Amino acid sequence: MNDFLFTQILTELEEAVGRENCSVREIDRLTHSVDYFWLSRMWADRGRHMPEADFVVSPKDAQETSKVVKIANYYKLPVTTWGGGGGTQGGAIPVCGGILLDTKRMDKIYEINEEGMYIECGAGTIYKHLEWAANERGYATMHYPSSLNCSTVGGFLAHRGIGVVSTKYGKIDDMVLRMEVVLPNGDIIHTSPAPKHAAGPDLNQIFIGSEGTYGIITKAQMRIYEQPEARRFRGFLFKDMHGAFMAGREILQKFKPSVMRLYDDAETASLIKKIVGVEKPGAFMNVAYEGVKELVDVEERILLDTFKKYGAEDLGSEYGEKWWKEKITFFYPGHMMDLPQMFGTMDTIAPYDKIEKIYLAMKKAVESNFPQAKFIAHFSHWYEWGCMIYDRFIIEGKDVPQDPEEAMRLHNAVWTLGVRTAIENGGVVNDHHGVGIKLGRLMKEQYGPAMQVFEGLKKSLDPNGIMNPFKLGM
Amino acid sequence: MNMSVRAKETIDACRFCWMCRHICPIGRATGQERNTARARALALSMVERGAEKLNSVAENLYECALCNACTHDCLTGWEPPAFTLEARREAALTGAMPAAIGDLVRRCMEWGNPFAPALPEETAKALREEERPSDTLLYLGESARYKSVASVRQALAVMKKSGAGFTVLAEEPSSGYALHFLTGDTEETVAQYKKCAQVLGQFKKIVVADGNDLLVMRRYYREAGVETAAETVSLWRFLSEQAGGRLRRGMQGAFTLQESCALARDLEEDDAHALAAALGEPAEMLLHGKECVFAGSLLMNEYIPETMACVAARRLEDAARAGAERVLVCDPSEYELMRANNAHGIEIVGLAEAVLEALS
Repeated sequence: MNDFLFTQILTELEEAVGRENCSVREIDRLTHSVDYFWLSRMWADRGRHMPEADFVVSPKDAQETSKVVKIANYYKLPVTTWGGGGGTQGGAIPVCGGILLDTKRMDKIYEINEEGMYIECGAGTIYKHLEWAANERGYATMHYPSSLNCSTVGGFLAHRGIGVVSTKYGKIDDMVLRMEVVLPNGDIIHTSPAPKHAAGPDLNQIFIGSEGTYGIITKAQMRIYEQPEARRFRGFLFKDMHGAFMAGREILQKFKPSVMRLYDDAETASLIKKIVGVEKPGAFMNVAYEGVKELVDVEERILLDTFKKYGAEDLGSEYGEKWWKEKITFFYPGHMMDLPQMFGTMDTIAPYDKIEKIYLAMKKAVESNFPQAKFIAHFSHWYEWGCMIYDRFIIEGKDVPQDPEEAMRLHNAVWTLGVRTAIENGGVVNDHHGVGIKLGRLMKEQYGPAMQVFEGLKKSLDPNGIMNPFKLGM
Repeated sequence: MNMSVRAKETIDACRFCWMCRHICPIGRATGQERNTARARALALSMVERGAEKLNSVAENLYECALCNACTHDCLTGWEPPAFTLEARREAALTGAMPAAIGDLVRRCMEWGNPFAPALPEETAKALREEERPSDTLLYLGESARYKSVASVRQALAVMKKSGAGFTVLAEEPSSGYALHFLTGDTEETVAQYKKCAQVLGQFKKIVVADGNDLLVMRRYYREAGVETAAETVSLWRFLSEQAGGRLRRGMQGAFTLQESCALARDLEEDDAHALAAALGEPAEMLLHGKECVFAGSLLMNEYIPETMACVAARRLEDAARAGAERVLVCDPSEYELMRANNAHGIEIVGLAEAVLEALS
């Protein structure tokens, strides 16, 4: 782009959002070029610049967002939306340059509606701040992912995120009532006043998980919940994974615990041993159940009786309480995997009849094709019909190529094999981290001709293809 | 970059970690991604790898208030402000300092403060009237002396009403806080420490009105090997000891306390809170005590006034949500900036003023 045109666009963007909220400074371009995606981190670690946006803008609301999108459409500039930048799939990286639209100035708490049990807020609100707003009135958001402190409401919605008490309270798509969205042509729309209707497809669910390719979420009504009277924990040790899956499946037919996390032998012997202190061999499962105290008493009895049938060793409440206390400690530097390690979480989801098969197939595929990789897994979000696998590969030491191109080659090869194995055995490309640029190439393998539904929406809503290009396989 | 091993380790730990984003008062107020510990760490890590020039990312170093909220919140004990301060030192020593910061540093060197060549006349007059022989010195600090006549007046009045014998210095030396904040502990900063310590050493007790000055005297003088024989005490601890038992508990309406981060978090003093609690029943903001939130700096206001306005306004939103009709403020900087950016109609009162009214 020539200097004249660049400056012309800059002045238009400055008019749209205010000069102080439109930047071409290196610090702003640099900090929006690296997210939590391992490849972007590795690239920076090797002293290489990731692709940077030409302009970084921070609109304060849907109106300003609309103005930015209209400018982008006119000049055919890519628009990449950035919330907290805590995504692992490269969804927020401006790989084609253009405009980086940071949503964090859209952080207003518009309303705390205690009768309707929701908070209406800007999509750039950090979820932890939403939690504080709920806590101040005696409520809770019940959305507690490891990135609670750093990620935004819009970020969680855009990639369909999930928190640790999801088994009882649901995923982010269960927690939203209504959204405001700026379409790629600049129109501002609102989804239906309430979900669970019969007025056609649910607009919420079209934009949730669309990763900024169909539009930009600017406002949302998020559910709040009463704080539980009681929250109790129980740790169990299973001799084998099959028994654990069956026990988990059976308990979900009876009631919904809030936390259910099953760790395979390898993860129990590594992360769980390190953080929670479980020393024994086996598969550790942590269960929390909460709500009205009388109901919690009943649930506890059912849990103990059910798990006993499957030979689970009752470890008491200590490990679970410790895990709850340390639930985000795992993700601080020094506790979590970090460079120079190469790692990735190939999470997938499937019904109970397939989940164990997928786990074993992925483990075998990764370990046999990449003997330098360690494979660990846990199963942390459960439903009446199935659960997800949070399976990770870790490559360390001299097995991690120093050359960035070679590192990318190895990283992508492990990912492709792992996710392809999941798809072939009845799993889905991803469970709750999204697709981004990391897994876009596998979307067509997942959906086949069904992909034309997504592509049709894309062509109709975004004919110039400006919204977050090369993400979500589109 | 010429930085300590610890600073470089911290940079590499923080460059891909966002876990303290929610607690940063600057990032919360501006919504800018660069206002995170991870953004500063990422930029410095790129400088360290030769992929960036320090002067192209240096401005961002000075947007950090060094309030240590991130340090307090970090579960693994990293200290982002420490590497930020070292990077400021590196910028000062290598000519990478932004022009606006360079101007402030020159003022500190030439005027002995970053604000003005001379005191406001009202402050100068008030100080001249209170200069008398005493072994107890009320150290007001440059923010109050040059920018907050009201804070000076309130501190003098409450000290007098407490019955304490004390003096002030019309020519008060800089504690070194401003130079420390802008350049870290360079030779020039340490020279200011020494000069101040020498003057303070002529007194038995130093009552320090600004938490930032007390932090520098207690922590950074020691780290730089500068000693003073005088006992240093915060104004709030001094008042608690001197007059805590004589306070009338009669403050009407809901009020909350804006604590000094330096005192409440870094020095772990809760005397201001105890004083406020003696006046009535505070409506606590969600984040208080060691988690208290920075609400503005007059020094930073010299180069990023719009940001300071946002920071103060945000803190007042917290107070409004807590149902406060009145905020009692400890530090002169926050007092002035909250008064200047008060969109909620909340009454901003200096804690010294509130104690003064309650003293029988």
